[in-house]
Amino acid sequence: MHRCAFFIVALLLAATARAEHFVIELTIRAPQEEATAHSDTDPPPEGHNPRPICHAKAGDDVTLQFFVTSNFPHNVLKRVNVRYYITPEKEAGNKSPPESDKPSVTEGTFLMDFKPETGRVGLRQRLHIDQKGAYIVRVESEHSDSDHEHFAALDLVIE
Amino acid sequence: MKHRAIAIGALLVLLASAVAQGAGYDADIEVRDGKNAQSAKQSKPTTTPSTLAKRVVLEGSADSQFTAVWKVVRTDQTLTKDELVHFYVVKMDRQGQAPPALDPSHVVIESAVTMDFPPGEKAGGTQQFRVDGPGIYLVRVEAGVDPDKPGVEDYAELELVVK
Repeated sequence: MHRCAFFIVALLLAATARAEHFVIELTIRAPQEEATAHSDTDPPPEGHNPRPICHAKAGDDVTLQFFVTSNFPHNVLKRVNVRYYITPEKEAGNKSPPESDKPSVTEGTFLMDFKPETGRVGLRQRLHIDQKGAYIVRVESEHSDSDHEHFAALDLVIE
Repeated sequence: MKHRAIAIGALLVLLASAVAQGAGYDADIEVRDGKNAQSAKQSKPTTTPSTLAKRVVLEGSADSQFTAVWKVVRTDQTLTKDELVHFYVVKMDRQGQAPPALDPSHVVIESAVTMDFPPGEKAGGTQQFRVDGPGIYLVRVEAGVDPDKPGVEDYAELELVVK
């Protein structure tokens, strides 16, 4: 078995079916529940789709996974930033914004080009959250040379 | 006999140059925990199954939030298409161990990017992570990964020793 087989196969199989700049699939996997969110658009910042909710217990082993794939057929999107984070929010189920004065559980960025159809990025991360509360989990494009950006978001409730 | 020795010598030189050539990328990686940081640049293969890798080491504590910052640059003067850049943090049994199989239960974080790399093209990432507890972790970025040909990639890596 090659050492990167599991994740690489998942990345290469990531969906490219819908017509937009980016197809996004964002998943949170907890021991008892799993939730997946798909591409939405900004503006408005909170998007148009409802946010799925995933529940977990404090200290549970939680897995964050996302795939962002270019679905823009015309040309390479150059120097796009893909940003993701898990940050406390005021309440779940109400499209609350992240609480900017509280530190993120995790966050990160990728800077890359997106070639039509095959340009993609994926991430899988295991983590624990010990503090009870509501968290927004979001992955988003930045600087994609468009009048709008794409994102997927869901709520994670730690009980 | 002399001709055979020359032929074997030439073959060894050819094999050595093929190993050193790599996939045509420069890679570098830095890991920090808010107090300390360590970085590593493009590494040449130093391990065979019977030798230990000598890697830069960052020591940290199990409750730290770590940040890895990596970058790869295409240095070869050819265009490569749909190239794979792979980053991961995985728990190891001991320092100097060759990169282990990526058992999902031992992988803390893993990411992959596919894109075209004309000469000079760059890709980069910044990823925060926490580890599972005390132990030895390999933090590695690889470019030019071919799942069917392990070992051809260029890479930068360091070890995280967590107490």
